[in-house]
Order: sequence, then structure tokens, then C-alpha cells
Amino acid sequence: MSCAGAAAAACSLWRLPTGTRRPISAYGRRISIRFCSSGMTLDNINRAAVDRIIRVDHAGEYGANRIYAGQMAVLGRTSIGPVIQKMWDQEKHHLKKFSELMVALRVRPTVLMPFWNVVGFALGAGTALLGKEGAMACTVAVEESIAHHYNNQIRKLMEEDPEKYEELLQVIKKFRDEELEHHDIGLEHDAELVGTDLYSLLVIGAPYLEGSSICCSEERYPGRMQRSNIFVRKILKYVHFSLSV
Amino acid sequence: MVPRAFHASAMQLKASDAQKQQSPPSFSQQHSETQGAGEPHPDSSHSPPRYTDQGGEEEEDHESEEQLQHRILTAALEFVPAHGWTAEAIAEGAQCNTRLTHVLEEKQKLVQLGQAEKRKTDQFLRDAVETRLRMLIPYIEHWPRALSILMLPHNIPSSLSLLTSMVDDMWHYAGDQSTDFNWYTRRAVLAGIYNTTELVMMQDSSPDFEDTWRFLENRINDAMNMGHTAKQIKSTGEALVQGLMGAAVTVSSAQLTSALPLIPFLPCNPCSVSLTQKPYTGKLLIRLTVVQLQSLCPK
Repeated sequence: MSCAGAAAAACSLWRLPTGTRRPISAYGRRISIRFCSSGMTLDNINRAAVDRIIRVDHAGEYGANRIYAGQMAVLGRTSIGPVIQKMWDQEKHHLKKFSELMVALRVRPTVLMPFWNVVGFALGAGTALLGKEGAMACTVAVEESIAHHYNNQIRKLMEEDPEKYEELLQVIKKFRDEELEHHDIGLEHDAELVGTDLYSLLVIGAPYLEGSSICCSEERYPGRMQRSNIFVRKILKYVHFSLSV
Repeated sequence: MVPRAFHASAMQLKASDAQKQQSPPSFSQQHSETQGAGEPHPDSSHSPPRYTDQGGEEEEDHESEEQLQHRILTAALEFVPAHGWTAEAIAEGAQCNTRLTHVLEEKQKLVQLGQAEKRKTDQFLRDAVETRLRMLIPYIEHWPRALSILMLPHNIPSSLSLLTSMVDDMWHYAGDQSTDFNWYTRRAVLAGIYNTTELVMMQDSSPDFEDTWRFLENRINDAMNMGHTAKQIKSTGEALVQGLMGAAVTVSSAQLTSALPLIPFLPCNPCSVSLTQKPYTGKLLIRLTVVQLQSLCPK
């Protein structure tokens, strides 16, 4: 009897503990002063959405970092090395920015970090073994899906409240533009010359898996790629979920 | 019997509150937070069943409802030493957590203003856990029962969320900026330390819980050492890998280059074999000689 009562009372008390007010601590404030000026505190934002956004973006940038590291490990001493290094440095900057945001907004990182560590490096190295075209095709695929992802997030934040999320929106927009630059650099360096045999198909399908969405891929990789894309798209729904775990 | 008496006394408290309060309508129209708790629970502790009612005014002060519940719970806590625990275990946890956050925030501000020195991580964590556990001292006789209530399957989600938010706060104010898997390991370790120290405190009878604080100190030192050891193992492993790679490169390049540098080495070996007493070293040297001879042969 008392147990049932306690349980019932406990259920209703659920909201009480978790509704504690948590302003951005002095510690977090030191890291990103700008967010306080735009009125974005831990109280008035849509915590669930912002948490998810920052977690997925951080995981994505970390994965991209590891992909470039893998590519550099194989192709670092070739002519394409400096290009990859430049893109890698920009990704490092992105990762640093999201890490700061993560600490300031008290967001937890994704559980699968060690997994993305290994998989990203393997993907980068694997595609780089296909040669320069393979590495560039991987870059194009990943950057395309990341840009698509960023666009979705920007749309979502704009729908909610553009002024409140102004700083965060600026950051995401800037990064999306830089990712699209990488995408164009990849195309410039003959990404489309990668072969369409089964091996290339699997290897190029994998970056889409990691990037977690496909858009506009049919135009780029005609023929057999279309069938694989439908299959990959189904899997991507689960990958998208796993990025935010 | 006991819960009923408690219920009655809490009712009295509510009545006295109602007289003080200016807006009785909001009082009687409190919206029940869980519709599932609609059935009457005569033996249940207090607030929520009494708030089951006919259509609450939702837009009205969600805030004042919360504040009111807060006040009732705080007042109810006074009855705990006499009547024991029911659901206040969770309320107590929540309130202690908010108090802890305030305390940590104050200390953080002091450090920033330069009035206090920045403490090392282990000292900071030790103080934070001690502060939090000291808040339990007023309820220490009945806390084991509270803990058992927290462990009930119904309550595990809320007690877990309390524990995780507390541990997260502690690490945040201790200066943790990890953004990889370390985030999880650190919090898991601190949660383990907190739980074991709490259990030790339940059975501690030393003056001012000295044994508990000593236990806490030892556990935190263990955790720190574990961290150091992990780092050392990692660096040793890396050094080992580098050494092996270097040896492999040396051997492969030695086999690839011409054998001339190795020939002067040959005559020395029979001499060294005769000089050494230990058969093992002799066999090793003979093997070395064989390897050199093999490397001389064209592949």
C-alpha cells in the first residue's frame, strides 16, 4: 500500500527534480560569452533539439576529421596531399568549435565516439587506396551529406526562433559553406572519374552511410549507383539515429 | 498508521498554508501532474492525490504550483525524523542537488574573482562529494529506508536522473572539458565513488563521520591513480610499438642492403661462443651467425 502510494507520488514528483533551473554556469560563460549576449541560456532554449544538433554535428565533424586523417595516411606524400591537408585543417577548426559549444551548453558527446574513430579512419584510408579519385569521391559524398544535414538543422532552428538561436545559426551556416567548398574542391579534382564497378560502388556507398543522408546523388553517379542508393538510403535512417546516441 | 498520521499532519500544514495564501482558487485547482494518480490513495504520502480535481487551470501559475509543492515537501521533510520516509527521498535528492549546484556556483565565482585559489581536481571532487553527503546528516537515521525506496523499480528513472545530473554538475564545476568517451568514464567513476561512500556513511559511527571522509579520500586517490596508470600504459604501449617498428625497419633494411658490413661480425662469433659460459647465450649467438649467413645468400 505504502509502496503503491510512494510510487504514485514519485511519478508526480518526477517533474519536480528534473525541472531545476540551470543557467549557463560561470565556467561555461567564460568559454562562449557571445551566447549569453544573444539571449541563449540553458533555460530558454529547446534543450532537446539543441542537444541533438550539437551532438550530431560534433560526431559528424569528428568522423570527417578521422576520414581526412585516413586519407592523409595513404595519400599524404602525393600531389593531392596539400589539398587534403588544407581541408583537414578546416575540419579540425570545426571540431574545436563544436567541442567548445558542447562544453558551454553542457551537451553530452555521442557514446559511439570510439566507433567513429576507427570507422572514419578506415573509410578514409580505404577510399584513398582507390587512388586520388577515390579519395575525392569520398570527400564529395561526405561533404554533400554533411551540407544537407546542416541545411536541415538551419531550417529547424529558423522555424523555432531565428533571433534566439542567432549565434548558433551563424556558426552552422559558416560551416555549411565551408563544407560545400570542400565538396567543390573534391569535384574539381576528378571525383567523378571514379569507376562504377562493384568495388567502387560499395566503397563510395559507404561514405554516404557515414554522412547519414543522400541528396542529389543520382545526377553525380549514374547507372548502378541508383539502385545502391535506395538501399543505402534505408540504412541511413538508422545511422542518422545512431549519430545522436 | 504512520502514513495516515503523516497524511493528517500534512493536511494540517496545507490548511495553514491555505490561510496564509492570497489565492485559494489556484490552490484548489491545482492540476494533477499525472492523471494516472487519480485514484484515491488514503495511505499515500501527500500532495499529488489531493490535487486530483476537476479540470485544473493550466495557464495559471505552473510556477506557483511548483513552488507550492516545493514548500509542502520542505515542510514535510521536517516530519521525516519522526515518521520515516515515503516519497520524500526523491524530493530530498532534488533539493540537495539544487543546493549543491548553488554551493558549487558560489565557489566558482569566488575563484573567478580571485578570492580563492583554484583547487586541484581530486580535492575539488572530494569537497563536492563531502558537501553533498553532509546534507544527508539531518536524515541519517532513516536514510537507509529512503535509499531502498529510491531503488524501487518505479523510482529508478528519477533516482538515476538525479544521480547523473549531480555527477555531471560536479564534473562540470571541477573543470571537465572532455568531449569524447572520457566524458562517460569520468561520470561513471564518480557515480560509483559517491554511491559507495554513501553506503559507508550509513554504517559509520565515528565522530563527525571521519571514517567516511577517509574512505572517500582513498577512493578518489584510487580513481586518480587509475587514470595515471591508464595514461602510462598507453604511452608505454606507444613506445613499444615504435621500438618494434624501428627494429623491423632495421632488420628489413639490413637484409636489403649489401652484406659487407656484416662480414666483420662473423669471425667474432666463434670467439664469443668460446668465451661465454652460459649455453643459452651461446645458442643465441649461433643463431645470430646463422641469420647473418642466410642474409648473405642471394634471394
